[in-house]
Amino acid sequence: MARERSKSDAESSRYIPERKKREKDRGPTVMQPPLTPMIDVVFQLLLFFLLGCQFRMSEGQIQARLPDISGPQSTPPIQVDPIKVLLSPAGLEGEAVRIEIADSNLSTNDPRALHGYLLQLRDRYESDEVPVIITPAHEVRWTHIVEAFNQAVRARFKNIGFAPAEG
Amino acid sequence: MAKSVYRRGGAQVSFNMTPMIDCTFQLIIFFLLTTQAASAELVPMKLPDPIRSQARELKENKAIINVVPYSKRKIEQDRSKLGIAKEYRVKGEAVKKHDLEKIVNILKEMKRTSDKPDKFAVEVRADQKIHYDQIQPVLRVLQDAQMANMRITALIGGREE
Repeated sequence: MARERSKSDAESSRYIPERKKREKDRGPTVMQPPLTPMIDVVFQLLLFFLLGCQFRMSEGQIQARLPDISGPQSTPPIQVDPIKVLLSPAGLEGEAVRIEIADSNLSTNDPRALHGYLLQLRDRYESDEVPVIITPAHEVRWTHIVEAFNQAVRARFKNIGFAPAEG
Repeated sequence: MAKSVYRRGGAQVSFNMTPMIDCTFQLIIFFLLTTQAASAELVPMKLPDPIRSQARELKENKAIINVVPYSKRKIEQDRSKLGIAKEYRVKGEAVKKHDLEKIVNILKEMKRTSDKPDKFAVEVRADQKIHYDQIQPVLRVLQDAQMANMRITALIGGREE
């Protein structure tokens, strides 16, 4: 009996280093959290943004003032003839514009020329209070009107208005 | 020799996911930061882009009147729709040209309930190709509603000379 026990002990003592050796060969146990659901969700989000995203140009506003018709006028009107900017459509479908200034020989399609001329006028009048009246024809595109308005604001005129359509 | 290979067990092939996850997170953060939530008040359209634009971002205390053009497809089918306003939109409500009196009431109500009624402004937001005769009724509406502060929407920065 004792001999049998000692025999089995000897066998087990022979096996233990063998098992340890195998475990050592396998290397250390790697612990890793399950990443698959997270990657799934992240890709869903990425796809959503890629498909749903629309890049937009940043927009702003140019300040304008309409005449106040709510009550009696507090300030007397300025005794200067307004600068009248006439806009008429050009091109097959009105894609271009002709810019003219009344009582002057300016006739151009270049907003930069309008800006230059308005600067000259401002220097000549020595005032930025002179009214600038933009008078577009019916079929002038809004982009050309805003362009003319922008150039007048850029020339630092303070009273810029729109007249009813001409032509 | 062969014994030791068996002893090691089957080889584990795995992708190195770390750089991919890094990139993906970078992209998500980029989109999260740059995405602007779509607003019902800002109808998608092509805005004027003036040279040396003087436009600045003025956010508060305002109403926006969108002058909405017909779709590209509709214009291709019928060229007479080019430059014509399909509808006007204020606070997400579509208003037809013959019904612009509605806008006067909406603006008056907005001005009345505003914190600073004297500084209340109206923004006119129209597509590049809209004709002036489609904008004129809006200007008349603004005068009827006694709105002195008007703003014109254009792209910021604009084209350089």
